[in-house]
Amino acid sequence: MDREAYRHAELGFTIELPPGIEVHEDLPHVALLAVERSDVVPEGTFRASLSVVAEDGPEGLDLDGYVAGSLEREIAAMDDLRLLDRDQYELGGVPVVRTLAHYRGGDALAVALEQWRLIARGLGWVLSSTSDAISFADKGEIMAECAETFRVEGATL
Amino acid sequence: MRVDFSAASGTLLAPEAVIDGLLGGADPAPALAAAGAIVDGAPHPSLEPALQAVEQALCRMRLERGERTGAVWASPAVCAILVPQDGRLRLSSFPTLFLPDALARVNDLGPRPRIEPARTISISPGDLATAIATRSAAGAGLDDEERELLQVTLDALREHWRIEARWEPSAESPGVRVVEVVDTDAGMWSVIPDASRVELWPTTPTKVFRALGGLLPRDHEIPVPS
Repeated sequence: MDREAYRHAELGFTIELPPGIEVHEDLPHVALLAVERSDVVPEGTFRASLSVVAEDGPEGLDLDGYVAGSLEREIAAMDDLRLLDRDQYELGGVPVVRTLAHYRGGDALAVALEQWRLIARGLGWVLSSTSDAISFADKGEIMAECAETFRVEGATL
Repeated sequence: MRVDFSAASGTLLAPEAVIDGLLGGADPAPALAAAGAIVDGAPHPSLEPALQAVEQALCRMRLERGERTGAVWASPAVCAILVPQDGRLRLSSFPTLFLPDALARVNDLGPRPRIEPARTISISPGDLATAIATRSAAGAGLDDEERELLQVTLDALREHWRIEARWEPSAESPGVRVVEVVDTDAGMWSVIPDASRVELWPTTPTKVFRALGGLLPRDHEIPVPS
C-alpha cells in the first residue's frame, strides 16, 4: 500500500499515513488525528483513526512509569477496557511499549485500541490506533504499519 | 437441576437437555416458564435475540477449550453464545460487532511473553495431543532445541483452545476457518495444519485477536440470496 509522508511542523515528528485519509491538527491536546473519511465507509460505521499526542512529563520520566500511569488513566476513563497484549521493542532506535486493548464504545460498538508509547525529547508520546474490533484484522493492521513509521526528530536514547 | 434466567441480560443458565429442547424447537420445558424465560408460551423479549441468532445464523462456531466445548451462532446483527458453566449451559447474546471481544474473553486472551527463539516446530497431531495431556515434550520426535522450547511452554501451559467457524460457502470460499492456540504463561503457539502434521508457530495475543476478528465469512464468501 502506498503511504503518504506527513511531518508535523511545530512538534517535529514524521509518520506515514494511509492515502486519502482525513488529517486534523487543530484538536485540543491532540497533535495529529488521521481518520478515515466519512465518504469511504458505510454510513453509521465507526471510522478507524490514528492519533498522536505529546505530553509533558515530570523530570526523569521513565517509560515503564509513563506507560503504567497512562494505562491507569485509560482504564478509569474507558468502559470495560481490557488489556490484551503488551510488547516492548525499539522504534527508530527509541524504546517503545506497544499495547493492545479493547473497550466498549457503546451498546453496539466494541473498539480495538492499539497504542505505542515512547519518551523522546523529554515528552511522552502516545500513538493510538482505533478501529471497531471486528475490522481490526484489516484496518488495525494498516494503522499499525503506519504507526511503525513514526519518528521524533532529534530523538536520542 | 435448576434453571436460572436474567431478564435484564437475557442470560439463561440451564441443564443441557433443557437448552437442547429450547434450541431444537421442542415444547419449552416447564422449568423455563418457572424461571421467567418463557412468558405466556413465548420467549422472554430479552431471550429473543439469542434465539433469533440461532435460527438466522450465517455462521456457526464450535468452541473447544481443553475438554470443554461451546458454540456461537453469528447472524449479521447478533450472536448467540453457549458455554458450559458449573455443570449447566449458559446461553446469552451480544451484538455481532462484539464477537472478537467475546471470543477473547471466553479464552482469557491477555498479555503473554514472546516465545524465544521464535522458531516453528513441526509435530504430529497425536504427539501434540500427548504432549499437551502429559505436559511433556519427551517422545514427541523433536530435536533437542525444539523439545526444550516446547517443554518450557508446556511447563507454563494455561489452555489449548480451538475455534472452528463454518458457513454455507460461495464458490470462492472454503466455508471454514479455524483459530487454534496453545496458550501458556511462557508464550503462545498458533497450531497450523500442514498435511499429516501440524506446525506450531510462535504467535502473539495481537495476532490471535486479529484472527478472531477474521473468523467470520466476508460478503463474497456467502452465496448471494436468490
